[in-house]
Amino acid sequence: MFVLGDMSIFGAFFAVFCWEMREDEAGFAAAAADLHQPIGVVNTLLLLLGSYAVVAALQAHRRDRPGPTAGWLRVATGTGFAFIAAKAVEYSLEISGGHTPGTNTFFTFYFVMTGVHLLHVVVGLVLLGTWSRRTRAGRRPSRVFVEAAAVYWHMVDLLWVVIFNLLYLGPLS
Amino acid sequence: MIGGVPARVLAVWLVLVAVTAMTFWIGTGHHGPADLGPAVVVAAGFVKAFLVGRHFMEVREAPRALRIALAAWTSTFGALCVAFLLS
Repeated sequence: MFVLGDMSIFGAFFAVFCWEMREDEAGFAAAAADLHQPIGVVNTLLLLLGSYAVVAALQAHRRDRPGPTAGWLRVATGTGFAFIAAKAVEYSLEISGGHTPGTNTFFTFYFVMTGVHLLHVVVGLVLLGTWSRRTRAGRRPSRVFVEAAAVYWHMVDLLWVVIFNLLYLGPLS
Repeated sequence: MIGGVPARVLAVWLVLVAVTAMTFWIGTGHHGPADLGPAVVVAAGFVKAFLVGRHFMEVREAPRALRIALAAWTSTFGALCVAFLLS
């Protein structure tokens, strides 16, 4: 229910963004051209890889194989940290280029949407980290916990694939 | 099967990577076959989200209510976005 609620809040954000883009197509296209699309696509591929790793970790957990579970969780958390690092580079490039949340409507959406999403990445990493720590310590976490952590991480991926098309590609197309 | 992941999930993952690369290539003006327009690009994002939910979140095997919830989320917000962009 929490995941569905979270997704619905983002869904409303997405719809309002499209409404605003319709009102100012040229302005949104010009602003989106100042984003760093290659960083955006790398981040998309990182989260997709992270999702695959979490599916593999969950399969290994169900087969009671702690070694592979911990290994795949290392891959997944690695993609999460790489995502945060790439996002930090991207934000610094935008801010040094004179783009802040107050620059225009597009950049307000950009910083709010990607910023709130980034918080979700951090929460997802805490959940995966807890799962990984318990597994490595030989304390098998409960099925409910690992499935909730996996679903949360996939939600982070699910929201990002829409955000990427919406912010980075849609206005340019 | 890599890492014990079902072949179906691996196939979906490869489709997601391919669609990401293709929309990036076309969306950033690298001589796509046609100007897709924002509505198509945004709709592609929602289709990708649905695939993530159905196959990675395992909604495919979840109770009917969750399957309906994912379909409703994708179709409601996806349709709203596309309708706004086309109007």
